[in-house]
Amino acid sequence: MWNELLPPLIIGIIVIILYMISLNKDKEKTKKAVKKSIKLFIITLPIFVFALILMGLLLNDYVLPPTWIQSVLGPYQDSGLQGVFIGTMLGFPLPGPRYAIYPIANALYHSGAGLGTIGALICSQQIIDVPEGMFIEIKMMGTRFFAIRTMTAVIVVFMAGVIIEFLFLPTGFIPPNIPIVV
Amino acid sequence: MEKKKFSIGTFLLDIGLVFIVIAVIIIIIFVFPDNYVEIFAQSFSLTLEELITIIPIFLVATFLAGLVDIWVDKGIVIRLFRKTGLWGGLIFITVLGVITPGPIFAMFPIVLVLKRKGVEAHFIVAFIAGQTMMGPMRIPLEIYYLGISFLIVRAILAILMGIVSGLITYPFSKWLDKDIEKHGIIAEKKPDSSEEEALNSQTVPKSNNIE
Repeated sequence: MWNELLPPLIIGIIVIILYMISLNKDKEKTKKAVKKSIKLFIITLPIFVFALILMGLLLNDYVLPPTWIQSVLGPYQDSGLQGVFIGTMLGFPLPGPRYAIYPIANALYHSGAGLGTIGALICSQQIIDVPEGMFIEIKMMGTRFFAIRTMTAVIVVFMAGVIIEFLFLPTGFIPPNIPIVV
Repeated sequence: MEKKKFSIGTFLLDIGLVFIVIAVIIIIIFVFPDNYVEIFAQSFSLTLEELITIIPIFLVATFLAGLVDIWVDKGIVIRLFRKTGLWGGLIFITVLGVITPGPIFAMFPIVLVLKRKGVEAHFIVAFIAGQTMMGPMRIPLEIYYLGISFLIVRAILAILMGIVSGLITYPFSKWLDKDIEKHGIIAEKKPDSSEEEALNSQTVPKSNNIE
């Protein structure tokens, strides 16, 4: 956890320095910046907390264990473009932080999934956060924005999966075999 | 001060999430009658861990967003994107997204400020695509699990995906901009008098008028 707290700490120090420079330049403007930041933080915090509670309720050993995707993807994993499409669609509702997909993708590959399928799965899990990120996105940017972003995400992720599938096919590339730790 | 406009969408969203959480809790109790205590314990620890990790990032992001909002001039941003054009702008903003660290939650305050500064919706979509697809903090993990060749291909694809996302969104850009200003959180913030004066004194037209 400390490793994850390091980047915000570094960026935090940079932001504090920027605020000090700002304070030095214009006291009133800095005050306004602080007020705006606190307001934005307070408006978003409740939805943020509930979204994370929802993620916690879904992502555990019983409701959606980390390996559920393997059982769903099973019949399609070695079926080329169909596998890429299923990988694209399954990544969207996969909750959890973005780094959590890598061990799952590795395990999927070594249980027979194509590179295009796992490529699409990684991209789709990361590009849109359903359900937790979805609420914050709609709250901040509106429903239309989320709908269009989802539509473009399906198109570009499928394209990326197809490119990965055909690009790596002649090279015989094999990702390292790392056993999944559940 | 302007009275906050009531929006059914926002209201349902605020209330909806609470109801979904309650519904999920009830479903878990019924579906897993023997294990629900353990499920809640696991969920609690995961949520707490995520909150402890993400809230500082989110806090830093909102404070950075506040500072950018106050100091960065809307006219400069609009001029910059007008100068770079559609393709240049898309490449620039996607690369900016790729090098920006942080989870998507923390990105939205920054995205919101970009929007307030006149960045059009298609550029925002490209930024989010680049930011989510690839992040500096995830590079070691991706190399460890999938290898360096996979990372390189995905990094190139991240930029391509950002540009293509932006191009697909381009025809809907104005339609989206209107909605973001109407329903998004942006509508709750009416510029104060000094900001309005500053905007009126600028010779650059507002983002909506830019081709």
